[in-house]
Amino acid sequence: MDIVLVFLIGFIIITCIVIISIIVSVYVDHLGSIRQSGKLAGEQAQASYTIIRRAMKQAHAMIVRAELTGIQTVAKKKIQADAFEETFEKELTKLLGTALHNVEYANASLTKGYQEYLLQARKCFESEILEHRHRLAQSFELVEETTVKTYRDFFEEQKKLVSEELSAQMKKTEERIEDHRKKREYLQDNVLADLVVRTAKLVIKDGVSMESHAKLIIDSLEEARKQGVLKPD
Amino acid sequence: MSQLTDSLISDIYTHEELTRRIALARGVCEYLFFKEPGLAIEDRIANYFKTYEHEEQDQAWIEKFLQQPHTHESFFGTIGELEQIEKKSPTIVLHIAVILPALEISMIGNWVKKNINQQTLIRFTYNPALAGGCAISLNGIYHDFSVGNRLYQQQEKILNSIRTIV
Repeated sequence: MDIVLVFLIGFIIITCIVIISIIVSVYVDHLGSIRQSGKLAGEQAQASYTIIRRAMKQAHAMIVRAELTGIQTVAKKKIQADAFEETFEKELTKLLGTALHNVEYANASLTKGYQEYLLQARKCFESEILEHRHRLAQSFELVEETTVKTYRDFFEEQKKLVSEELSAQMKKTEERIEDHRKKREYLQDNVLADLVVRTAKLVIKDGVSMESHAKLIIDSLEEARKQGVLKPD
Repeated sequence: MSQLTDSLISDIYTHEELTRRIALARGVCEYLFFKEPGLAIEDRIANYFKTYEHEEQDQAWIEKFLQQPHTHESFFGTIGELEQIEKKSPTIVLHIAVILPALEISMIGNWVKKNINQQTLIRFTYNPALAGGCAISLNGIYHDFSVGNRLYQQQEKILNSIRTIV
């Protein structure tokens, strides 16, 4: 218990005793005045005084005891506090040591754990990479096979188409050549005929006498008359 | 139409020839009536023939033209009649290949006068492509009776002949 509290309790008790003594004294004086009796009053005063003194002694003894008790209590508490402080420091030091140890342990454990995790992750990654590589290789092989097959099919199809187109074109070309040959023959014949006609015309025009020309004109007029183009008026 | 006029156009077969003869007659009249007005008409005629030389046919035609009363009215009356004939005569257009001399033209002209109409006149156009014979334009329609056209019509036969030979 705190020493100040002990003193305060003692002081309150003493004050209470004093106040009670005063009240009793006043009451006694008041009774003495009412009875106005000298003897009785003296005895009563003596008794009051004795009571007060006794009370005062008891109060004093109580204060002393209280002080002693307080001092003892304070001394005890101080001793307990020192012991507690020492114990606390010891426990704290111990706790700190334990905590430090735990932190170091935890750190080491964590580092080890991470290393293991990383190793495991690396193994896992390597394994996955290998697996993916394998799958990828398989996919590539599949794609390659499919592509080769597709190209081969496409090539065969194109080859077939080209062959068909070439055949058709060849046929058309042959037809054109034949058509051209016929046209050329027809043209040659016509040119030849035209040449013959022109030659004949030139021969007639320049190689025939004027009299024959006049006769030819008269022949034409006769023909026109026969056909009804020319009619006599 | 007077006998003289008939006589004057008897040897004329083409429009061009009639136009030329009318111009010739006008020339003669202008000389006779306006060139030497002081001289007698006979002297003027003599002077005209001395001044201008013509081909035989034209000379003959002028002399024929002058065989009428030597008056202004008579000469120009005849010219008027010739101009009327020029305007009113029926015309046939013949397309021929060569330019014909007068003799051959007269052959054709006589045929026309004989077989179609005495007063019909010819207009010649020349197209060497016709070769021979003639084409006729009549009332705006072209009729081809030429040798060239006949040859073209026979072209297929010619072609067949060539093919046979080849």
